[in-house]
Amino acid sequence: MTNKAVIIGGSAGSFQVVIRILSQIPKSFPYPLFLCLHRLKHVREGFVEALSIKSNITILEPNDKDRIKPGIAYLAPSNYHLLIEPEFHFALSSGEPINHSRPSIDLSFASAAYAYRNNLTGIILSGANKDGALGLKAVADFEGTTIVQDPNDCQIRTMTESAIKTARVDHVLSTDQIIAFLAKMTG
Amino acid sequence: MYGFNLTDQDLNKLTFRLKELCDVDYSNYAKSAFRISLNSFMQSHAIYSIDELIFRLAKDPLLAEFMIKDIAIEDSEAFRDTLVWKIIRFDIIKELYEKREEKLRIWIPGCTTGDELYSLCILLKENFFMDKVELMASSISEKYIELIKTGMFSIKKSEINQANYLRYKGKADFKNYYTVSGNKAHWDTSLIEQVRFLPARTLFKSPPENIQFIFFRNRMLYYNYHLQLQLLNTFYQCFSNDGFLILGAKETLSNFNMKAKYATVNENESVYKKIS
Repeated sequence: MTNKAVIIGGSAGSFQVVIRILSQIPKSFPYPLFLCLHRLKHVREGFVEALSIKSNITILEPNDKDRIKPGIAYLAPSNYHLLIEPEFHFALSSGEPINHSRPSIDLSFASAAYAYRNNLTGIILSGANKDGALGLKAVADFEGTTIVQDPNDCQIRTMTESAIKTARVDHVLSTDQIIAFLAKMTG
Repeated sequence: MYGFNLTDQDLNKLTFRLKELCDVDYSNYAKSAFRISLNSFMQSHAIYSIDELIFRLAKDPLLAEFMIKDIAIEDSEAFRDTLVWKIIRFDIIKELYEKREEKLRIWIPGCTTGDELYSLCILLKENFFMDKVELMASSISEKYIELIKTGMFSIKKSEINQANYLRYKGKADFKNYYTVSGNKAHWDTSLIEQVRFLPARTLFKSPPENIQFIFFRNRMLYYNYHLQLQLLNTFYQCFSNDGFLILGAKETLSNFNMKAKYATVNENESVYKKIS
């Protein structure tokens, strides 16, 4: 894979941050954006709609084997793991929860890291558990770019602090700085 | 790291040896999920390399059977995705039965946890259809069938199963369908008395014929596009003139050129009907 991609993982306290990112991301953002956010297991509808209200780019919940397209934000569906395959498509999984989570941020990040290597940027946001720390480490191990929301900027700092302890982190940024980073990627 | 440290060469070597050793062809499995479950299996058996795994599998056929089971592992619930169970109850079973005098033939080709089999049996029993159907179930591993026959499931599941059943608006008190002892729960195994269990891997060897209803939810996810396409064609051959196919909510026929073979009954719940 030669093209770039961005993956964002978040849990408790990340919803408003994601809304802000999506409302300020350039309309011409040229890469796919994967969103793996912890969400209620039995509520399948409504999340895409809620995120879409202010979003500058289209948000979709992919089906199994859907092709990955640039300029679209893809949200991990409830009660499935969202995996990214090296052949530019998604694979969902009904496998066991990891860190009590399905979707698991670790699994989405690790599979995306394997697929996109140094062309991946991984971003961990606010959250109340340790999911995402090993996933971000995988992004670093495959020489991608790693970003963590500044724990002082987070509603709940457990997830970001755990990521900082576990992975090589390139940038610790506030929400505004994350938005600026994505704008700069757009060029 | 969740199996993503394994190289493609590692996986190819393993897949090649497994064909000879254990009667399962993993070459058309979805790669990421295969890595994840393989890694978890290796960790739980303290196996640290693919070479070591191959060595141990060659010595120990029992280990191979446990591996086949663990690669197919999933986490489901009774009455997962309430709407699909309502569609079966209010539309599919009735439509199929109205046209028929002989028994309906139903097949669940990919049982693992037993959640879906017990749910379907509860649905059939509550609606007085149990003696009007011939229900067949099969699995990738005999280990799953053994487990399903014991009725055992994790006590942690009972709360979520109960909540799903309430949303489904079943006719009975859900607590009557299982018993609890210690940290284990057991389904009332009389629910599955009439189920005919087919040999392991029937799906890939000798699928049954003249079926009217195939229930295969969240199992296609484990395969790549090529094998998914092959299975959709297999199912088409298994059906009699008409028949319903239910896949998982995120498994859709829209990625396949199947318009001449299957009509969409409900897009969101992936309910399809064979075009005869």
